[in-house]
Amino acid sequence: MSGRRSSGSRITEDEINELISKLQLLLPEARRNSMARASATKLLNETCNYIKSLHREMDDLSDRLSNLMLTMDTDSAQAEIIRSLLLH
Amino acid sequence: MDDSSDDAGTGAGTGTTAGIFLPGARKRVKLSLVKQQQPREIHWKNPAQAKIYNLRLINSLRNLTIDGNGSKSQSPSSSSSSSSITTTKTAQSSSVGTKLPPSRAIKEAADSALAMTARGQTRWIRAILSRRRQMRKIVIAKPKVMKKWRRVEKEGGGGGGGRGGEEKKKKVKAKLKFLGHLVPGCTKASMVDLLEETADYVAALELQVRTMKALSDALSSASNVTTPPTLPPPFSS
Repeated sequence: MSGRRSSGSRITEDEINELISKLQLLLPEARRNSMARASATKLLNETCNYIKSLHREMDDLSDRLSNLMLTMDTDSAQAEIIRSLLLH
Repeated sequence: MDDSSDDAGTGAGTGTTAGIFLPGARKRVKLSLVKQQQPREIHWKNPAQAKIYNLRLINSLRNLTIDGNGSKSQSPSSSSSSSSITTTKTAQSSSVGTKLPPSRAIKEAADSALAMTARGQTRWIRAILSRRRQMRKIVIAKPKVMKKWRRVEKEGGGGGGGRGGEEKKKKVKAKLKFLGHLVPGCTKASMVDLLEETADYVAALELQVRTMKALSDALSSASNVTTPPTLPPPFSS
């Protein structure tokens, strides 16, 4: 906790921008734009939206899954598991 | 000739420090923590990991429903494959009596399966796991990495000279705060930490969505039609 300052631990603006641009590469939109947007706020915005949409998709999928699993019995569950393993 | 053990720290950055023994020099170079960045994201894109996650998910889901459709209590998931370094390998042996709405239970199972598949000690993983710990007793080994991150945190704080003026910085900060609320366990993380966590989390979420989609597709096709489901067209053409 005391000040043992290792060199390079100070966070500069450049580092932040670098990290943000790295984040940009993960977003599916950015791959289409081929790195046209460099503004930090826009990127952060996109990231937030993307995460929110992923969450929503997750909710949707889990709803679907829960409905499906409720109406299924265990035997076909086994078959389904085998099948999905094969598909991968 | 020296019998130097060439113990190069390869293997995708497992563990916090790795030592490289240079022959004859006896120098030990500690790979810094930063090196873990690369392997971590590749980790999520690894198809083997996807398979592991898939299996784990299926297992835990199956255990969910075996207990009966009435009360969705979470029984032990029996995944023994290569789990992460720190997290629980044996726990989750008690069952919760509370009735969760099924979709919520599935989501939680998916999240914990994801967290268990993860390697490394990112914050969101620990947040998810500690959320489950509140329901039952799980011992999570607190990694020592955390302390080193803290050191960076103390000295960081404000950025360098203002490049874009005050307004932009405020906006960026607001967005970062919002992002911190989205990623579990990152409400009070520093900028650097938060961005790294986000990258990791996004990759993990993508894997999760992909897996669940495949699973639900397989399920729906299995329950609808008696004929075996058609394989998706291969990507390589």
